[in-house]
Amino acid sequence: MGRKHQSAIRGAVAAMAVSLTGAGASLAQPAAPPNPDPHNLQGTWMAAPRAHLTHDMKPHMGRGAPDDIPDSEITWAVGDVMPPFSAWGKAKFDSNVNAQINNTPHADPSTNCMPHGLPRLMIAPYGVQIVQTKGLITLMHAVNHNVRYIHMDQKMPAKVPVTFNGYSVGHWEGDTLVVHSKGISSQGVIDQLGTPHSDSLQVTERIRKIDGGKQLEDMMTFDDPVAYTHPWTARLIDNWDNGHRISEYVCEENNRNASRPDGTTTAR
Amino acid sequence: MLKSVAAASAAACLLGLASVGAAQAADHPDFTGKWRVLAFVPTIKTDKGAVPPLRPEAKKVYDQRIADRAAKRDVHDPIDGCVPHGVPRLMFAPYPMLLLQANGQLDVIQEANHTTRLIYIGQPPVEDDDPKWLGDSTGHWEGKTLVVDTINNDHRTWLDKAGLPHSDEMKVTERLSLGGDGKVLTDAITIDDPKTYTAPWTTTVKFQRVPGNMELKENVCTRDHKM
Repeated sequence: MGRKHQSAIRGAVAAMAVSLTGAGASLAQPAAPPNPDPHNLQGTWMAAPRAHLTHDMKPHMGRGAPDDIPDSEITWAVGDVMPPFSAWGKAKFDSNVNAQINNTPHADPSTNCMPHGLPRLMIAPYGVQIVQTKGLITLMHAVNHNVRYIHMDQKMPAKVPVTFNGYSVGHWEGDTLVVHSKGISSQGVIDQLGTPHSDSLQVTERIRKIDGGKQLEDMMTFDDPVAYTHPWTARLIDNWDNGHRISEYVCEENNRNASRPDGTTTAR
Repeated sequence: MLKSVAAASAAACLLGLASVGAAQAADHPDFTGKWRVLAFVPTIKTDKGAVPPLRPEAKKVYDQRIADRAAKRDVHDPIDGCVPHGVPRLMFAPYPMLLLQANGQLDVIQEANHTTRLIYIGQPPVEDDDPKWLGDSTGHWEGKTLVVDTINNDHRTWLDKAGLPHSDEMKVTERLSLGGDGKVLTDAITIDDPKTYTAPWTTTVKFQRVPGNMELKENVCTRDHKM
């Protein structure tokens, strides 16, 4: 990787990341074919752009310039329908969208170099390296050096601390990894647009390899009775990243989009 | 890679998930687990108990940092700005760390600002690349010792809290080994940086296992220490 190239990555800010998809891979690494073992998720994956977001859906956001929207971080329910907002959720969503339209987006935790929070972390268009050890699946994301742990084959503790990335337990059902998460701070949002959630959010993910291990499918079901009238599901895809290494990403070094005193940011 | 894939696939039929980690060569120790430095040392010394052999210019920098801290002046410790500790300081930060040994890597996750350091075992060094806060680390086995070389180290990091300096030509060699029935991890750290030190020098740090049910916290520097 060229020096210039990598410097650009190191100085990059999370919210401006969309165009960097695929960057951060060191070309010197040997290619690694997808592993056919459905229970072996190890290696580097890259969140795919949201291929099934249709232009037909964009006007639903009430926004004049649809091409201006960062597709890869917008979450829609499966079937390209709007999430089933409660009145509270819709008011929050509208407020967040309007802030973006008015170029005064609300700062979210990642804007200030804090963890993205679940589920936004899973959607961010950067590499994630998955490591499996006894009783634990660890996700090391390039972006803001986020770390997420999936505690295998254990019950959800009665009390979990509220954190950005939540507390996750998982188990295998056949070839599908089922992950349940709670304790997710409501400071986070579901996507870059500002699709909201409360701290009642619980996430159930059904993760499996598809296409011979070239892709990971993550069916994420959001159960949040404060923000939504009923649970809804989004489908995320990660692409196998051929053995590439995730890059060092230090948001803290030069954060040009830190929030202003009024809570807005220049990040979009 | 191909070999470990095959091994993992074959074993997976019999053992399920546990086999994924077991594809590691059996004769190498497994550092996986939670560790914490036995005793936090803010001012590291060589194994002989001496101040590392600083060149005169570097000694001036170091002495100034020590004087600033003693006088409670702003010391401009880089980690106060929430950037990574750098190598080797990350290893002996006074927080628990999780080591994950799998898939041809030894990965270090420091609780302090959830910092991740990836060590690629059996891979060639990343020559002539940009300096990074945590450098580029590759490892190889010498018997039961994992020897880790780290290059491309950003000169802005400090080697310890006191403020031992280094240049971006520093090469760090760590020798990681297990002792005490697998309960003690030893990291013998050699600093080779002719621009800053008159000779390579070594300092050794030991770690103890953290009880299994104690989990790493979500430590967020930019929240807990305003940037």
